[in-house]
Amino acid sequence: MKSETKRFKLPFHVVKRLDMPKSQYWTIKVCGFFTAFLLAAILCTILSPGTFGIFFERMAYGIYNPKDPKEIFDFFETAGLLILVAFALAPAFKMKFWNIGAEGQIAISCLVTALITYGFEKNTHVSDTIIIFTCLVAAILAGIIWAVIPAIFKAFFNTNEVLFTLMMNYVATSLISVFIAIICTNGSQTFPYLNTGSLPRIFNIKYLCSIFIIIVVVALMIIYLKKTKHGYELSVVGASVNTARYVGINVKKVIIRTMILSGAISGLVGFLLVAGHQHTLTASLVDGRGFTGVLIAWLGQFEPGQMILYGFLVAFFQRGSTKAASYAGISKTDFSAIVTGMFFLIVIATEFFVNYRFLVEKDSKLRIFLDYVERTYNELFYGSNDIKQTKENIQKGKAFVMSQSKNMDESQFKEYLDGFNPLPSPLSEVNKEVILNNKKELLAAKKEFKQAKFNNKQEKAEAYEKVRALNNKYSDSKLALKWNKYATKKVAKVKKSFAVIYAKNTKNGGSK
Amino acid sequence: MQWAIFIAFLAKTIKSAAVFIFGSTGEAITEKSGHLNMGIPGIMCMGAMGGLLGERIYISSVPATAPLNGFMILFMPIIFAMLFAALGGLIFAFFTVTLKCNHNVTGLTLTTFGVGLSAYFIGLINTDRMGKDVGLAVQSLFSGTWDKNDFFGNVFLSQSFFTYLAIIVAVVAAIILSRTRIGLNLRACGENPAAADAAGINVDLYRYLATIIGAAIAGLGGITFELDVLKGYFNARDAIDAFGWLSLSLVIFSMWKPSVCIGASFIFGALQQIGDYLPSSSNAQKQAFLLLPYVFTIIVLIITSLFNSKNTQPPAGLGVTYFREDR
Repeated sequence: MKSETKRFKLPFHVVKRLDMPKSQYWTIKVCGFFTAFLLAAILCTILSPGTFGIFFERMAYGIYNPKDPKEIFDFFETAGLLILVAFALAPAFKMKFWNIGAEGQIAISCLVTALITYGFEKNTHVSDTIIIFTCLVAAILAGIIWAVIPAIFKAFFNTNEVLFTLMMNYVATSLISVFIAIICTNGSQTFPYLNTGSLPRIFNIKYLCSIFIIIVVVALMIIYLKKTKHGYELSVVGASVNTARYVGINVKKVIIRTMILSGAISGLVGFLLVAGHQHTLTASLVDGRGFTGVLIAWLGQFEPGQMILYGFLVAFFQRGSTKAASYAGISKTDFSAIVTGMFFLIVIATEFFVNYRFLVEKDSKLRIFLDYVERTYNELFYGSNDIKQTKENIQKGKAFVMSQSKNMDESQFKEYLDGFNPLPSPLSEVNKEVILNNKKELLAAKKEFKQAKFNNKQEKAEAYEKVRALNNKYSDSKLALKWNKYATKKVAKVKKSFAVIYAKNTKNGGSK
Repeated sequence: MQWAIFIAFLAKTIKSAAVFIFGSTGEAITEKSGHLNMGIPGIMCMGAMGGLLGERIYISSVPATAPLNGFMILFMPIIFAMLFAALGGLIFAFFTVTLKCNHNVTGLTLTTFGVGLSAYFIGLINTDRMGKDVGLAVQSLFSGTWDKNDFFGNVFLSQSFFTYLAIIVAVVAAIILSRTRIGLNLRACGENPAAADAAGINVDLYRYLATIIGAAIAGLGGITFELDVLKGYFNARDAIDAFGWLSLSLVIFSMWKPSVCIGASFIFGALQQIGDYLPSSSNAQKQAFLLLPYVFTIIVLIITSLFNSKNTQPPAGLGVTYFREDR
């Protein structure tokens, strides 16, 4: 037999959380955002001492620069492109097709746009409109082709899509290098600036046209994901492929169709990047937008609202850290990458606290400590530790009303409501007069203690104990009043809400 | 003369193959345990950063005119590269094993973070003595000069310590993975973590160790590239992450077998270098050769999925976080 060795045991274990109230979810997330923000500030201070305060100011410049108010459109464009990439990926992710190939889909459509514009530029008779529309169609087609190849292989041969799309990224990026090398034979190694085929300026503001296009496409995508049959089919395939097959969804068709959509939007992003932003072609044109889009879509849990929020947050961190770095004299692109990476790491870490919770073992030292903290917290904010039991009782009562209200008539319900008391112990009878009395007593005792002369230490200690007892009595009575106020209010509120639930349930039952 | 160029090409191929061997062996160990570590480009960058930092620490401890110790020149960067890369692996393992986060997302983030971090810090390390003394000293392990046409001497004996180390590490890793109980347990963790757990294998520990050791080995690839391939004349914008992505594709290309990784690394290394040695090759051709490894990988990926043989598939639990109570 093996002898049992003593192993170090953690005083808690991790359990999956079923669901979480919205308020708690956002508290955790916002804590994460601020942690990332603070860490970025600290990092900035380490790299360039004395910039802690100014860091926050410069980060804000990422959104709104008082010296150049028009820069706010830059911010919207940066965020908009990221959001658009996330929306391109969300449908694929929703059906658990891990398309991390947005980078390549964007790159290939960038390449196509730039090449077509370059080709037309030699032919000076073509108008801008024709160039733009040809490029748009070609870019979208290129994106679709790049996305559909892995989709077909996934659908028919179950090829691993993560690795396939990842490789497609690099094929596209390398193709850009190849074409740059082909076109730039003069050794300068930079693609010529494209004078034609750029998107028109609305109100003479850069990027406004791009922003409009992005808003329209994002709105359409929200409708597609939320309101159409296609969007619903995606969720079914994502939840279980077998279920989808069983209810008659053609899974292969859904995969290919969704990837066509994904590729089309990625293609649009590529078009906007060249025609609306860079007007040239470089190997680092996409600049990780595809990967950032993956992270945004995943962190936003494919929910439109959250993805938009994360898009703006990431744009804020990217642009803000660039501004801060240029002020602090740190390398801009590197600092931006570090800060964005840190932001993502921390937000990913918060995901753990959303999905899991700690169960502390009974009788462990940690449990005792946590109980102490909880008791102190409850007494501080509610006046009594009874709050825990009360809340549990209220939950039980609510469940009872929910399930049983249809079986009760009005008088029975009234009886139940009158008898309902969630408080574990009766309220003590305290009012303001008692408290005042206690206070007077305490003050008198204190005065006496100060004036009195003691013969020895023991006498002094006894007198001191007396004062302390009075002090405790006074503070306890104060807490009790607080608790009374809170509890009576809470009970009244709960009873009212029970009545509402009862009314709702019986109404529905009656109409049937 | 053609022969001499061919020999030089082979020698250079083996040099850059060493980077791939390190990267792909590290990634293969990690993936065998069921973790798809897409942070490997970032980790290789962090390894390069750590290695250069270690070298810098050693150089600054020696007077400017004194000769450098041949042992310390190799020892310091290797230890520091492994330390820094292991730190990156630890971050990845902590997020994916303990915090049970999505592998793809964590990996991509780690890459962004690692590339940015290393680019910044490598930019701060000055290259003055690094290229002059260290680069030369690192170049070849055995002292001696060989004739240009000497095949054996130039290809096999003129290599640096890093190259020999890479092959030793890869062979040892291949043997451990396929022939020992530890390797069996590790593969079990990757194929079916729940069954491995039921058999009494500490899945979390194995995955932690595999990720950290794999990252440390991959980190050596980063420093090999900076000191050996670039001969110490490094730059903050060196594309180490490209090697990282290629290492990732190499693991797929070699069908998750470290023994195949060694041979495949030479193919990838050859494709990387062939553009420089082909007579009359244009820049476009050179770029096209760099594209080929990815295309080959895609073809291998498709072929293996077509035949659907059990030996060539990725580990069944690849990229899936394991939570004991999920069963």
